[in-house]
Amino acid sequence: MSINSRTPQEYEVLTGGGAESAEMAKRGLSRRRVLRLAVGAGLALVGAEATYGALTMLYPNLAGQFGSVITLQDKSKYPAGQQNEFALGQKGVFYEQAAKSYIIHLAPGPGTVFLLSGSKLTDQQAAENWVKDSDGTYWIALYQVCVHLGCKYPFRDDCKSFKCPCHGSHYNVDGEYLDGPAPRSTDRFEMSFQGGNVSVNTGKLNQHVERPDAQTRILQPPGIQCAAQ
Amino acid sequence: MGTTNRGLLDKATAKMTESQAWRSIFRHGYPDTPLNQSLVMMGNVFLHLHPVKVSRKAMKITYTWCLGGLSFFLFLVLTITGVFLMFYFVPEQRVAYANIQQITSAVAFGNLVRNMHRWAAHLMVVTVTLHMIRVFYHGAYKPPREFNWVVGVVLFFTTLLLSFTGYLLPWDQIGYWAITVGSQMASYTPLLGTQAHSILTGSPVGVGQSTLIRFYTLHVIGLPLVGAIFMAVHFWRIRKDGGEAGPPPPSRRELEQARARQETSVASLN
Amino acid sequence: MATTEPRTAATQKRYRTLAVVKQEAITRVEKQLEDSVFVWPHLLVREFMAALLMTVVLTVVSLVVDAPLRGHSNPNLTPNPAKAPWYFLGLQEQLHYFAPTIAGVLLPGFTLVGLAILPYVDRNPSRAFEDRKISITVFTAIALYFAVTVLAGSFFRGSGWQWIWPWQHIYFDL
Repeated sequence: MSINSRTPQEYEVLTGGGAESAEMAKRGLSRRRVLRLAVGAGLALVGAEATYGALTMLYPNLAGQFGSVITLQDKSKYPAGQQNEFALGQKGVFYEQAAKSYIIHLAPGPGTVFLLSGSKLTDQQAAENWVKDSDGTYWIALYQVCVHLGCKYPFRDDCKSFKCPCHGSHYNVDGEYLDGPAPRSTDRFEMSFQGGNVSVNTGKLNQHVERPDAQTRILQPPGIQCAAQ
Repeated sequence: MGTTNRGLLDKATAKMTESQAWRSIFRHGYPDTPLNQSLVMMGNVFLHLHPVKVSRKAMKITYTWCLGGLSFFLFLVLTITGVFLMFYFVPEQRVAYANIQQITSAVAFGNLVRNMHRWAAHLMVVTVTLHMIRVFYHGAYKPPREFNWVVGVVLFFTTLLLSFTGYLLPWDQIGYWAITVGSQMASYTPLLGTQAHSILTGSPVGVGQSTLIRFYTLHVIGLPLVGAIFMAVHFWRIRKDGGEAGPPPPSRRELEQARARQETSVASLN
Repeated sequence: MATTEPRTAATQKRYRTLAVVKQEAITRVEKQLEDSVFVWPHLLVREFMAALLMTVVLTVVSLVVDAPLRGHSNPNLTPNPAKAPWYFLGLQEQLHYFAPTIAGVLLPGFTLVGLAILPYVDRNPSRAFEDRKISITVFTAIALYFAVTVLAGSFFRGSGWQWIWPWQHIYFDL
């Protein structure tokens, strides 16, 4: 009693269609079967299209929002500072809410002590999303969320480093792990320059900067204890 | 060539339709025999809205113009497109307008879905009205269908209210002032005018945030629920009141004439 | 035969209502068989085609014509003219002539109530056009009145609700 065990022609035979119908039933695809298949295939196609359309409509379009490339202010709005000069919003470290990032602008000099040199330094900087500007300064966009349990960590001007208020994870000005429970250094976004503006790709997050060791630590720890607040 | 293809297809189809899963969903064979054509209508929850057989005359497309069915179909289209719009629309007066702009510009297929929702809504007012006019001229509101006509009037009013409440939601100049003028009419209700207006708009001072959330709630759940319940009654009563009325029977004069003809033929036999 | 079994609930006969057959249905045996067809496929095919056609028309219209969206609502700037949705323009047109209580509340109210009680007022059992001259005339007159006022309000009214010909300017939003 399946669809095909009895064709319309056979049915006609059963109900008195005559020898001619029986002959027709023996032949290949009947007109009705083709029609049925076509209707079924058409419905399946429409269903697939509707499903595709529904899913596409629900897929978030993040243009201009967090998750896409966000163009920030002009470079000159982020004056560079040496490691020991960092002050939030004034020199070296700037908070950008739209990108949920700290923009780091680090100037070389006597106050900035690199522990690596040569190709080791440049390789490690590339691995940690440092961007070297034409004037010799460095830029990094650090994601504001602590890799330990998701709190937002602030920059502490008093100890020249990031210190998470939740469980005390402690990061250097370039986001490198110093101490505390965090499993790795902070995450960072890809960044670049759009004309003269700073641009952060908040869709590309680097979550693979391990706790540094003697071979990979780029910057000297600030060596100042953060006061209890 | 044809035979091998057909053999494969046949085998695959047979395997599928004879599987336990298939048989658990469809308890009967393909509806091409009178038995299966009856079983499919009685065993399928969606199809059992219909009887197994229907009068050939009542089914004629030039009799019903499918207007009731199309109204219901448009209601379904409006429900589906409406649900999709709800994913992006927030009924808050500072963001509602921006949401509509976002739907039309930034959401994939958003503009198409909004257009479909808008045009289907207008079209549904048209089809419901025409359906009502058609039913009147065919006298299909007469006993035993008089109560179903009343249900139909309720559905007509619900359709208008659904369209009217949806008009405000884009929060643009068209909707805002149409609803301002429209709701102002309620304040002229004898005796309870001010109260009626306040209940409708949620604010004695004019259309605002409270009006937006009221119209939104009515539009997306309140009125659709009322509509769905009355539709259920409407469809159920079609069946219970004897199905579609069919074209009007002969008039009294025609019946007289037929009887007279019969009498003369009988008389001529005597 | 004397029964020794106790008449407990388990031994009593139980009945289930399987169907209620109306008197009319039994006497119908003599009624002529209606010329009927199976709903599957005859009616379902028609319904399917109607739905398909509607979907195609709706999709094409929606692809071609954009739903209107005017500027952000501004409570301090009334557009001139400010029109209701098209199906209420008949009422708005009547507001031009009658007091708001009459045109905006009583007239639509009585129309709806009148429609609802129509089957109980029109007691004429015949459904043939020829036997229903009065009801058809009255209904047609009312329907035409609403149609004309809707059209007038939609296409023949401009700023300040002044009469304007459609070839001069159309103030109409859907």
